[in-house]
Amino acid sequence: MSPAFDELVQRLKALPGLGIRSAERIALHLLVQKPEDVLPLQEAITKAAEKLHRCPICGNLAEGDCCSICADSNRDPHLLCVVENVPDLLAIERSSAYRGRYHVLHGKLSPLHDVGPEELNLGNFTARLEEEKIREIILAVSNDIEGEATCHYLTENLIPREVTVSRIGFGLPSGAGVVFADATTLKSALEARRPMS
Amino acid sequence: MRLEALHLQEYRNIPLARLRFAGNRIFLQGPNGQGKTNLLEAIAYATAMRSFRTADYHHLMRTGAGETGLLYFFASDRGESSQLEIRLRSGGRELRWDDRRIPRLGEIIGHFPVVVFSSQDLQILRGAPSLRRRWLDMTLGTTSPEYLQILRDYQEALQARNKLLRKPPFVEALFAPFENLLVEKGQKLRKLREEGLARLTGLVESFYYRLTGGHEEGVLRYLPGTRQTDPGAWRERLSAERERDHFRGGTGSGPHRDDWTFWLDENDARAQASEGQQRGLVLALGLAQCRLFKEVLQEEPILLADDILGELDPQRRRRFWDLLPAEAQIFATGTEWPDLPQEETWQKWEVSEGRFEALLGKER
Ligand SMILES: [Zn+2]
Repeated sequence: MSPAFDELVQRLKALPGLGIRSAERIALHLLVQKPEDVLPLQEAITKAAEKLHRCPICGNLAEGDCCSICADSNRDPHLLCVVENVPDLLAIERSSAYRGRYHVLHGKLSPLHDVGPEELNLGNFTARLEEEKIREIILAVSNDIEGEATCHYLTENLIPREVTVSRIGFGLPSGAGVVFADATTLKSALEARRPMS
Repeated sequence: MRLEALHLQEYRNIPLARLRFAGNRIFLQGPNGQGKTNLLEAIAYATAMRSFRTADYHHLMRTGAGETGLLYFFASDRGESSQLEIRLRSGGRELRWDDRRIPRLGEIIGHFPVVVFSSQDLQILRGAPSLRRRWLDMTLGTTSPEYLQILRDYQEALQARNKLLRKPPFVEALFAPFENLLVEKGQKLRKLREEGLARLTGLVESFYYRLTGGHEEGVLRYLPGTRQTDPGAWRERLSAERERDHFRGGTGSGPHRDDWTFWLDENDARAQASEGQQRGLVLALGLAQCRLFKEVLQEEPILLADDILGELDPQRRRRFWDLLPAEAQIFATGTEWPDLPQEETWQKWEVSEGRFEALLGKER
């Protein structure tokens, strides 16, 4: 249509979950139907980008020194839940069945996509377990081969034997990530978690 | 199960066809290359959205067509009707079942079972191991979603290990998780294949026996792609083989190298059986597949016999007809009108240049 329009569509299309049609629809919505929304959206994005960053402790989104969950002193400090990404964390939070803290990996082991342990948020992981005297870890990683391999890697290499490790995801449809499970499913999965052999 | 009608649009050499099938016995007659096999291929496509002739669905699209449509009207053994619609475009495939969009194509597997008898079947016995693995995966996958899931998991773990093999040095901590899963899923896959083949071989033996009048014993034997049965030893073997597998360009042993063979009276049928015996064995295999589908899925599969009648001597042909389940719907093709059992029950069609014509007097 026009170079400026095309560039906007291309940038929107590069966002996760957006195909070319959704990208065009959003672009047209902003430019033609709701031009008054453009400036507030632009400001919101800029503000969020300035203020928000990765929590240096757990990898969640954070506004201050650390995220609100790490800062919350009412959480069980010795219980840790490992998730693949922030939407999974949000899904577990919505189930309100969990009162510990998190560690967000930002991915899972995937040789096919060249994701190894260095690409995951594991730099401070063992130090954290020691400093925070973690007693129990729940691995809430997807049920597929890469998720299973990631859990195996963590338990065999990074988690000391004396820590209780359990795995949830068994009740979820095979191959589906944590984020696809509804709150009730997640809640029962968390309650029925079993120690890993 | 019965196919009551089929609409094809821009499919293979068929611009448009709306076919209504009467009864359980349909014979399609016409010279080669006119569209008989194309029609059978379309019917069989409903089983798993897979063609028995090509791995690339674009071949099913008529030359120059932007979109190909297949619309099936099925009736189950219990009399419930369902409508299946498949659309093929160069960008992808779309599936609708009773007007509901089915995003995961795997969901229809096992619901519309079709068994194909074709002269190409001899390749299952004679051809490469990959053909036999494909046949077994298709057969067991159609009857068990668990089998399909484990097969997929195993292949995923295998691909991951093969990718890791490309980049030495080999880090134990990276290999171990995927090799463990490879062994875990590989063991399950092996067990399911063992059980599946054991069940099939019993059926093959009985059908071959009856097909040939009871002279020889035809069986199937499983040849596992690894000698390892103990998981610990299997894992050790994998870790010891990394270097060699690296130079080989992939994992050298495991269920992805499985094979199975036909045996006739204690002889390997590939090397020692006559062509007639080999044809008898694959015919028995098709009958076994049909029985397995019926037993597990509780639905009589549709049978397609693509130009195989001419290859059988009159005695075997008669026995073959006798062994087919009487309730099954059968689509048979040939270049000539054959002498059919209970000829008056057959609906006859003439096929020419992608056009299908039901012969008058046979429509009910
Ligand atoms: Zn945090």
